[in-house]
Amino acid sequence: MTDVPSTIVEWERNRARLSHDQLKNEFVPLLSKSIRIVEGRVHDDVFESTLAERVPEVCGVLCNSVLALVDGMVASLTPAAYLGVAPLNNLDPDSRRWLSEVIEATWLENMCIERIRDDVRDAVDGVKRQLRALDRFSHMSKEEKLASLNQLLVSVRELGFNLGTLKNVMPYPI
Amino acid sequence: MNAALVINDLDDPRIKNIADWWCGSVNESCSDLFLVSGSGTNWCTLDGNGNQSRPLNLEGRPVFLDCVFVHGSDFDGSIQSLKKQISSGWRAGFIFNGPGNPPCKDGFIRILRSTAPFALTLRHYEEIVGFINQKSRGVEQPAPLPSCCQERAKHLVALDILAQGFLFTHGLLEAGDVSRTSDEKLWNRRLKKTEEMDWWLRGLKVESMDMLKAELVQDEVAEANAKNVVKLVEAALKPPLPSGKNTPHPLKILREEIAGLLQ
Repeated sequence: MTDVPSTIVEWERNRARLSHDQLKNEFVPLLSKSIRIVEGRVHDDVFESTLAERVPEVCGVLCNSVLALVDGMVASLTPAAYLGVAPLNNLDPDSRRWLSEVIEATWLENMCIERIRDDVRDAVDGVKRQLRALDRFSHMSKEEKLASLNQLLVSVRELGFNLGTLKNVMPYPI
Repeated sequence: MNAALVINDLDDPRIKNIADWWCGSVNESCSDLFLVSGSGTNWCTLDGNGNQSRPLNLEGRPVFLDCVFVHGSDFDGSIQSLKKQISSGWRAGFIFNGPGNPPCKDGFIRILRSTAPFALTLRHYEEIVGFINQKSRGVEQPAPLPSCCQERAKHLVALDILAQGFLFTHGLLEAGDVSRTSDEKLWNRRLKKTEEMDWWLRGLKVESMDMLKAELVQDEVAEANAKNVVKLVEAALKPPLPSGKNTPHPLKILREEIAGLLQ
């Protein structure tokens, strides 16, 4: 069996969990339900009473997790890790040293890692901006609430798109 | 032979791909493909186009499954519930879309091929059916793992990295802010080393290029591609190299070929 560096496997697992489980299966349904409640299409008094706190709380955790994921991206995904596992760990130490530098630098440049990282951070900023608009949620009219929640949903979906494309920055498919 | 596909996201385009693959490969010894959603509680059947039947009530559900396929992210929430419903259990379980090569869970085996784009073929189907049949016969010899459950990138990734090393030392690869060392002797030693077959064989952990070819074929690389890969490495190491502005270096061609094979 192949030795895929464990840092790469772990990072991809976290990305998939964030993108699929937390964002798509947990937060988007939460936000959609919040919108339906404000619209009056769904009635759930308990949910409604905690909505103003719950949405920012879950969203804040999600944003922090995404930022941690992109902050650790280079250290976790560097193709240099392949020099530490079979079969390339069979090379002499000098070759492994200079090859590590070369392949990491090539990967950083070819994949535009800095730009991709900035794009994700911008998307997180976009979500946080919409989140701040919810600060005065209890004082908003129904229309304002709906507009704020819908804008947050758009930002979250954009973040989801960015998280999805992050899969493509892996040096080699796993 | 029946199978169940456990996947909670009913909009997932992979449902159609998997249904198309399984039902399209089916022979007369095979029967239904079930779709199980709702954390293992909602059942229907799928046709080869991914169309879902009406929900199945308890009587319409199987009591035993030959094979269960589950999407990686649905595993934890669904399999325990499925176990309770399938009184006689199942013979073999496979997980789609589990990143990397972590240990199997609960006896489930990971399918290490892409589901988007969908990379499973008739050959994989036949190997899975063969695997299940061998298990069902209870023979002592363990059934060979289907090739889609085995990694194939090992030598290709190593080759790509070694090729980058060669191209860099020969001034044919820009590596961001990494530049050649000012120590001329050291640079030349590294350059010469990348021209030695031994450097490649060590980095690939094989004893010869023939062995590399055999291992690539074993890793599911088509024989013609494996032959070409070896030919390109040999061409790079045996001067004279192709000359002329428009003639790409063999290792640049090799890297393109590897990128295609890793898709």
